[in-house]
Amino acid sequence: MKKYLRRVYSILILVLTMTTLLACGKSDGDKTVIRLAHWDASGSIEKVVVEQVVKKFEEYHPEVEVEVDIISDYETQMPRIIASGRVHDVFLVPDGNFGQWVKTGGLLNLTEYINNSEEFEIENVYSTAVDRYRWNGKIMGTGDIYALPKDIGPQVMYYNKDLFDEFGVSYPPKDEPMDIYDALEMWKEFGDVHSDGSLGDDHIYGVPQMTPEGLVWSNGGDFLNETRTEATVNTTSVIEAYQFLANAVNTHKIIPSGTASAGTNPKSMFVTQRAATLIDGRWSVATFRNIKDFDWDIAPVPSFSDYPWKNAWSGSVGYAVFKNTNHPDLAYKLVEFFASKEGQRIMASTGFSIPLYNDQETVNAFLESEQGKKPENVEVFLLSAQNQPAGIWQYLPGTRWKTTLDTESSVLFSEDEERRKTASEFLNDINDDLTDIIRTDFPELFN
Amino acid sequence: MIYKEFKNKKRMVYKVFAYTFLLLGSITMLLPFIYTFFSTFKGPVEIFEFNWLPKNFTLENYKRVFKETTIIRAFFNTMFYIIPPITVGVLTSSMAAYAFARLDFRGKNTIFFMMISTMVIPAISILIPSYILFVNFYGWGGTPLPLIIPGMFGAVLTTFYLRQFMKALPVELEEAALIDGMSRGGIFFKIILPLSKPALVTQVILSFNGAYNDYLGPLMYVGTDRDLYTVQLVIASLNTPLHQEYNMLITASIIAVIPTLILFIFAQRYFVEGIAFSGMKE
Amino acid sequence: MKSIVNKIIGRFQFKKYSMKRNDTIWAYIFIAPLCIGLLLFLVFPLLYSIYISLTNYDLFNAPEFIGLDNYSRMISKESEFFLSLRNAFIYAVGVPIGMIIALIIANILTGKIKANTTFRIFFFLPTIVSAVILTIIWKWMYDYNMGLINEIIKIFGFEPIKWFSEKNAMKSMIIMGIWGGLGISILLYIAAIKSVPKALYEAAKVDGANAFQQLRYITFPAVSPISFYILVTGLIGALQEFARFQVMTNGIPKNTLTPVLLIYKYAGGEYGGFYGYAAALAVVLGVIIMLITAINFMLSRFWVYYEK
Repeated sequence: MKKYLRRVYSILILVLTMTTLLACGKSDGDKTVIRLAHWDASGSIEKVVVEQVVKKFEEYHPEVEVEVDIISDYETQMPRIIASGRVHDVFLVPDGNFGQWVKTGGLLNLTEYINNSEEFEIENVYSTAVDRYRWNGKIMGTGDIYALPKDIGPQVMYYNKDLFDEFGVSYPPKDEPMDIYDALEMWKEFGDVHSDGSLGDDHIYGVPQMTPEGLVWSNGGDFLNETRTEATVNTTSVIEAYQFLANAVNTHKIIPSGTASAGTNPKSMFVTQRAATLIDGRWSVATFRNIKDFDWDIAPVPSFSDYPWKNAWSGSVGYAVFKNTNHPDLAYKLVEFFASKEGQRIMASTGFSIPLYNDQETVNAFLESEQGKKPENVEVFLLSAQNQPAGIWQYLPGTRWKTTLDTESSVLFSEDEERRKTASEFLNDINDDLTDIIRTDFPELFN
Repeated sequence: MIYKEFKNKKRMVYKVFAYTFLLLGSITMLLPFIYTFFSTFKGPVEIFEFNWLPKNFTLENYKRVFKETTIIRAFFNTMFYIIPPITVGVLTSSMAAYAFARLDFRGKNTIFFMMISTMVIPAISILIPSYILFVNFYGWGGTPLPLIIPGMFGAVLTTFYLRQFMKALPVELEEAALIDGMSRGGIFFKIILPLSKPALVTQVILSFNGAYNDYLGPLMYVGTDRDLYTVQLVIASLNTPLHQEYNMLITASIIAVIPTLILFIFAQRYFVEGIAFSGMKE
Repeated sequence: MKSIVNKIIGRFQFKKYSMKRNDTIWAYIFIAPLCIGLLLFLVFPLLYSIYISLTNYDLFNAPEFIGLDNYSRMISKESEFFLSLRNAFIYAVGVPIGMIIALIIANILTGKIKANTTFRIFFFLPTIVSAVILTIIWKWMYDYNMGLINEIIKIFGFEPIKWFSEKNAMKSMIIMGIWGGLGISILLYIAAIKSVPKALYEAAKVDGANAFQQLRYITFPAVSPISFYILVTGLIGALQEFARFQVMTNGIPKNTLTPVLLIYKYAGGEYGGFYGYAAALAVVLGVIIMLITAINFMLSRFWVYYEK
């Protein structure tokens, strides 16, 4: 026993020494330290790129030392850091979290800074990228700017060229989105549906997953009204979009039903050639460049004809400055540098995003850097970035209304024909429930 | 004679039943792992395919995990964080367990039930107040101390288990020792602890497994500093939403299983020793 | 030696009293570290959570007291809390099922079985891998088109099963839960069975008790304290289960939305950072679990056998 206790003591002492060492590790010198919180959503490459940008920034501002914290599981961790009050001077804001965080008042209003600066050329940046970081005190998408975008990740339709050749289907056009009903015919070519509705062994799905947003928007509809106080899913254009989805799953079987494919990664269905196309973002290019079994390319996401280019949502993350920072000017300078042309050039080299700028010079430089790499139709990304807004999770600071809509929409695809509802029945039923949820969750909108 | 034959037949039936049950069970447990293990030899695209044997066998994943991640360093970090709370914690827990199992004192049941009650609030809902307590009040932000220190005071779950185990131990030995004038402290160290060896080993294995596989705790307190990462944080950092490399993730997970597996196999011996002790008791 | 023992027995009446006093002192010494630990590290977070449940905390600004608003919101029309509670109770059905399977396997593994160490390792494997990899494995197992289970089902000529349809989703989660928890229960049972005095079984054999009777009259009562432990902690764990559900279904279909998943959605980014409401949900859930645990302790009198 004594021996055991002695061992315990030695470990205790070790712990204490370690702590002292850890506590005394840092010394700052004369430089101003700016702390930056960053995520690692794209793995180790992210770290390398961020450090490159920061190094360049420190060259321009020798009086500043930027301390980068790469934080894994960022969205889980950041709230705790905010609660403890030890927030970084600059921190990353995923567009889905923007509403919740800006509402607390912890983000510095950057509008003045942007107006007085020339580094960030707002007129040459995709407006969809900037607008999602606006807030007018009540709703997002309009008003002052509280974060600058770091990137914009548009969605496109990836397609398997080999499968298209094999089935004798012509490739989708690259200049404009295919009409959704033409696309339906295209997707049906790959299917093997028996007359009784069952699937043959060689059935290939047209597309493994399709979300309603792009269909609704391109058809001229929307989920909520402008002031975000009422649901508008019972309008004809929304109903038509949802009914299209329901038919695509139930009748044409070009999309696997949600319950059948839960657990199956849509990406994996495309990679394993069980689906001919895939609607996905720019971020998947890095993975797909490893595909050896077949050739692939991209085209715009098919859509309805009212607003054909509003055919999907695009992803983005931005940088915000903490309101109580001691160095707001320098912190803004850093944020701005990430969003500047020079910062963007460094970051676009990862292949996860495209540059924020759409002026000719930047576009040409980007196209040149992508030459010889897949996909061939790389300009589709640039065309798609123009009009694709943020996802509907950004309509309000919380998404219980959206989760409810998504969860309940499974009745559209129910196996049990008696329980199945048409889009019109379902959306008319649920519209008021959604409004009620908004009323409960966001009473401040109604004042 | 006939009776014996009947008995043998019965034993045969039992044996057949037992082995079938075990085999079926093991297959259910093992198949996924065999598949996962084979998958560690697949490339980044093939990993999405559902074939058993890799088409293009490659050791690249293992090389990359050791080269590109800090898994070795993370292993030593993890050991450093979890060995003190496990060794000291199991001891302090067993002390409390003995008191709750065998000693009479005022407020025993109340204290015990209050202790159990601390488990009823889901851990995720006290994460933020815990974080504030450790970082703002104790000033342990950015250090692994919140992972090390609290566990050394013992754990409710372990105490509860050891109490149940000790309550099932025969009281005769203890009574005899009391009559011999041994103090409660002596009884605890000289009689109860040795008798509880199987239970203590079980708790060491389970605590090790729990702490080693813990994700949220390390994430909160050392998740902003790559040098302090634990094995699970290294694995999680490979699970990135925008750039999924399942091949790396799976390979790192398979590598991470090895220490616990070794501990488990090693600790098996103490179960055998447990029999010897229980034989001696009577 | 013998005379000393006799002397003590002779003074036993008197001794017993001081022994008891002594016991109390020792007891407080023994429970001191654990109690101090709980006071230092757990009491504040628990009390703070209760306080937060009475406010509209948003993490950044100081919490503002709003009385019982969060609690009354729980019983509003579109509250999903009761639905999630019901789901959790259904999920908890897996706990006793898992216990029975674990006891059977542990009983076999402590008998005269060849290679029982190897078997033990097999059964323990699911317990030692990290949660991330488990969910990856199970997503692959349950895949409708190419998953392992459906592939096997197809070999026997049956229709593949949609594991995450509204009808099956909770069953799939229960199976996964039992599978993952079996290793720990088996280990606990093995340790318990191993410490049953061998002589008891030998005596029973002499009396002609068969294997089943030995199980019923010796093993079962002897491991009942551990069964009680597994039951209580298993139920608490099942009612608080969350990570598995988050990754596997994230609450779709609705009957897989568990209370802690709901709490997580309210407190995390998804529903929009309602920390006060999330804390209120946690407090109510905690009270419910505490009641169930108390009932368990009361019922234990009828089936748990303690020495003494």
